[in-house]
Amino acid sequence: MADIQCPSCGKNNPGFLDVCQFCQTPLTPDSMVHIGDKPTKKNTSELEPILPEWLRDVRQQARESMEEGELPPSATQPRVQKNEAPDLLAGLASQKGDDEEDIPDWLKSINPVTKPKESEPSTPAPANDFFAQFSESKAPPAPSQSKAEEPEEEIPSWMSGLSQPQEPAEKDELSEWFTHTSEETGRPAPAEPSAPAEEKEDLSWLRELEASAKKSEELSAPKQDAGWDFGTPPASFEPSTSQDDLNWLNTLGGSSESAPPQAQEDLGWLKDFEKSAEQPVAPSSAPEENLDWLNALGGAAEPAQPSPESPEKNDLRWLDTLGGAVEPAQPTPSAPPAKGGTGDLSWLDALSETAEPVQPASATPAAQDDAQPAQPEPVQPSASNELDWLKEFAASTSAESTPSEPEQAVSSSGDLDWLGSLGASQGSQPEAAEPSPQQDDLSWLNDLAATSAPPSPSYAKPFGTTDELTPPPPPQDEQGVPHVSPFVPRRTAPLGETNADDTMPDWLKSATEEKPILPLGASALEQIRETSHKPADESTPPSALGPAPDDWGVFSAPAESPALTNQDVDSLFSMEMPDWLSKSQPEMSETPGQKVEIVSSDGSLAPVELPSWVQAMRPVEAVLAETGVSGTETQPVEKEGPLAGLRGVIPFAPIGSSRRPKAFSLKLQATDEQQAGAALLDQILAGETQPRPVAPASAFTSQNVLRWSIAGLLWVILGAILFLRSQWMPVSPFLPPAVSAVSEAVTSLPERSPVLVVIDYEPSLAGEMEAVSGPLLDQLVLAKAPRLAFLSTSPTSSALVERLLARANINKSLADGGLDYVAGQNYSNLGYLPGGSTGILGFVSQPEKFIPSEALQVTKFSEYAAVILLTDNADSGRSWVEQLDTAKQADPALAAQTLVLVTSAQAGPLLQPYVDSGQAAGMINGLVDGARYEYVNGSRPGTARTYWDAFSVGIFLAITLIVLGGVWSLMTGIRARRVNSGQE
Amino acid sequence: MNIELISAIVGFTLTLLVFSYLFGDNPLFRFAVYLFIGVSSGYAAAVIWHYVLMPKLITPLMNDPNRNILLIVPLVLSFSLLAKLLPRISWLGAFAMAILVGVGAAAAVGGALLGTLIPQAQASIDAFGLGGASNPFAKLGEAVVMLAGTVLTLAAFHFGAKRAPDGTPKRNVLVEWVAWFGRLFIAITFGVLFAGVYLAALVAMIERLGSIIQFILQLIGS
Repeated sequence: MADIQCPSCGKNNPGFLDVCQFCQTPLTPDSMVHIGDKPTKKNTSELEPILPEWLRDVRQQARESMEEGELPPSATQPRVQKNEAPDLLAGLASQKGDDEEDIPDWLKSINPVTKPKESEPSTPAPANDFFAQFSESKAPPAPSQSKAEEPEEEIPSWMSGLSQPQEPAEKDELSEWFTHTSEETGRPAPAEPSAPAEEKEDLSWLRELEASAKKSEELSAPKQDAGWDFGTPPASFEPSTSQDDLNWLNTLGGSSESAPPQAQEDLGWLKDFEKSAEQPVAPSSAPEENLDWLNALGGAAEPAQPSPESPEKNDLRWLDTLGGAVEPAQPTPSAPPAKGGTGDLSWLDALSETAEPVQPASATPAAQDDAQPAQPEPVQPSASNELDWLKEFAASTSAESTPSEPEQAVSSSGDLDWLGSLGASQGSQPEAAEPSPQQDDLSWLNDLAATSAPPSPSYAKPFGTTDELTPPPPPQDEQGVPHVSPFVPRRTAPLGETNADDTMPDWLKSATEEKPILPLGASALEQIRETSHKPADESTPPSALGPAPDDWGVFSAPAESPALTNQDVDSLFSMEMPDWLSKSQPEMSETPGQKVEIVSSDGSLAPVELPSWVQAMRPVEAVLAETGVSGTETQPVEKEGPLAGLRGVIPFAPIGSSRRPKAFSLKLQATDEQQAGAALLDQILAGETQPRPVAPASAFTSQNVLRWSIAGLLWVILGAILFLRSQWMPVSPFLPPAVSAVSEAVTSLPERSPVLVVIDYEPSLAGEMEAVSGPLLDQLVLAKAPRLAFLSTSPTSSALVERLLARANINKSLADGGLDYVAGQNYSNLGYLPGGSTGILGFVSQPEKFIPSEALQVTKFSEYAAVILLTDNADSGRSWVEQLDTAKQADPALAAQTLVLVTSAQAGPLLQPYVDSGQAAGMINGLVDGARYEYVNGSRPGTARTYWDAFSVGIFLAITLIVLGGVWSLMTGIRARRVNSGQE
Repeated sequence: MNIELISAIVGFTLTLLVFSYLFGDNPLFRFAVYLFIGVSSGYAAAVIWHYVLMPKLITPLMNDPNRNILLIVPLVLSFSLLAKLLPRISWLGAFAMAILVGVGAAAAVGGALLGTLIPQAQASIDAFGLGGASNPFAKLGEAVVMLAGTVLTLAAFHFGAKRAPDGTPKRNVLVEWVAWFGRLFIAITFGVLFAGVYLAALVAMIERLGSIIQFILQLIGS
């Protein structure tokens, strides 16, 4: 088979490999996760090579320990059932040699076994996990009895104390111990513990680890571990040195270095870890929430309680709690750093000196029995002596340490908090770091060293074999030197060179032992899912999880240490971990039945390779477990996002109700009576507006001929009369009352008084209006010789003044038979008065403002002796009447003013009521009244009489045509009826 | 040719064009109508400019703007009315239109109330006053007819009815008779109005025929 070249490292690989054997990079696209793929379990243990070597070593040691079968079958039973890697980092196959420099020296020393070991079949993990005992912090302490009663217990009693509530004093002891340890190294910061690891997109946290490790200044400068102590605010932290080495742990939890709250949250997984240890069925929700492991990694374990602490506390108190946080810590304001770390780390002294006799473990249990939570018993002289090397180590480190900057403190705090919370119990508590109690607390370590006289070869080397550690100088903490975190690479490097197998605690040894590597990311989830369905009774008994946390006597039993260590490691790594932290074991992670065919996505977007950690977050287990469940087949398959390929993850049912909103009728709610009334009104209106059908008739015969005939008749008859100028039609000398009233009004006017003549008619009716008004004006001029003022409310009427006067022979000379009225002298044309009713009212009220002309001849409207209204429009005539009547009511001076109406025949009937009511003195309506008035006036000017014969004939023709038309209509009707009757 | 002859020729021609309507709507009639409307509008605009704008707005502002500074307000309002020509800015003329309509309505309502409604109501009541009448019976009859016409006309617009057994609406018999007489009064009124229109049109036609004859006679005589 042809070799495949790795796209990452460029090396050739056999064709049957899916991933690069050198860099674990997927060689085939199938090994990648694309959008739309169905969930498949994939082992991302290929990422293990890029893990720090120390971590791989730990995993390797765990495997080795599993191979040796040191664990009792009963303890590993749950693991066997779950087919899952027992430990947290079991999947991280050791990749020694690639990036050894990535590992801090101190971690190298802790994890001396750096040789990669092949993964082995998973060994049943002990039920009593190492960290499971952390959760049993509330269990009643049984210091020595637990040891006696459970000699075969695999978990050391000192580890059981981890589950006890945090005791700040103990934490401080450990931190100080590490401080001394760092001081023992005596090396300045510049050491570069780790080399850059292979980077991937999803492994930025490793880059952060690398970057943080490379920062020599950060390594040299002490940093505070803000997130390290949950109960301590970051501000109270003080510098510690080697915390940067554990940035990977911070980044592991997904927390940012500069965010203490997040860092605290990141450490919540430890709390969950404890809970899981207490309650084997605790991760019941894990299968459903497969991402909880991330939350657990970064989840905040406990709310932080502010308590000023020394930097040593903040840095390494987790180790203190590891050493036995049995009793609840008493809140204390602060503790001197020097005192905090001297005696606490005596157990590490004992570790360093494996050959030395270890103090009986009864000392520590005795201290616990004293029920003094925050005041552990003083460390025995021997134990303190044993920790001298650590003290010196810490002293040397602390001497170099300087107060770190806040940012560094924050970042560093987040680095180690999670470890610090290992020993934290249900709640972080302010630490009371007192020197003597801390030393007493760590006396169990001395005992541990003593009891573990036959050291296991897998013990941590660095602690006992490092040159700097072997001669432990007196702790400088007692001298007030600030402690420095031992996690400084430059200090741990020598430790790695020494043979620390004899000095490494069992728990560390077990942690470094390589265990069967399983794809934790998948198996852990499965385990959690399984355990969630188990009743509490079926789960691992609490006793199996580990001895009582206060069983300090266990530490003095060296024979139990290895087994307990394995359990601890198992419990430590039994957390649901993503498979990128687990090792690739396809045979363990997947079963044939779990294989799901990959659905190719047909989306427009190109498939994207999902990072392994995202893949690990996919709820594969839940989906696979629910495969075959009725109803899920019908649910859609997710095509995008991290859930691509999963079916039934999102509820199929649509959100909200699918029913349509209830429709409300817009029909008007009317009673029957109302509807009947409405129908009745509708019928009445319809009957009124419905036109009656007209009988069809011939268009030519009925309309045009008739029209032309009538027109021709009128034209001929009237034309003949006009042409002949006949005056044979008599004019009635009887004047109607309204007309006679006009004559009386004219005769009552004073001579030469101003008279307003309103011309308000259209030119089309000028002939009628001139014939009607001519006799009045002639009489008026002849009788009274008034000063006439012509005003028009129609724009086209103002031009008719001269024509009117000409037709009336007023403006003509006396020679021409006229009255010799001269414009400007005897009469004036005021022109157009705009505004309609408003203009009339204004002019009546203040004529000088509306007609600013000298032709007005008056200053007040009342000065006009009479108002003669010549109009062919009833509306305009009514307006004048109304406004004048209104003005008369307002101004009594206007009461005597005479209003005479001269109207067209079409407007007279509508203005007649105003004459009858007395609002107008009189009215001349049409040519009929005009002819009569002219006749009374002596037939002057004679225009009306000229029209009178034609007018009379025209009326007669009209009446005749109307009668004939009526008769014709009657005859046609009778004919139609007869026809209809004959047909019937 | 004097102006009178020209005007007579133009008048004669336009009169014939208008009479052409006997043959239906035709371009000659339309031409005469459009010409009449155009000339009337132009003349009205000229009158308005000559009698309103110039003497009442432009001239005072040009001669003595300090004293007539307030005339800017009607000037602006007048120009704002021009905005009505453009729909997009027609809202600018709304204020001026509001003033015109408001003031006009106020004047019309006041005049109608004080000049028509109250006096006419009073006249209807006084119609029955027979004290000073020379012929009381005639006056009484006139008053009765006037009152009957008013009541019957109002009754004609009463649409109250009940549903007949067959479902059709049916007025009361008395109301039906009253309404019938009311409709009679309405018909007479419309007949009188139509007669007045006919008389006015007849006079106008006679005047036009007389002008044509006069024009012809002048042509013949001349």
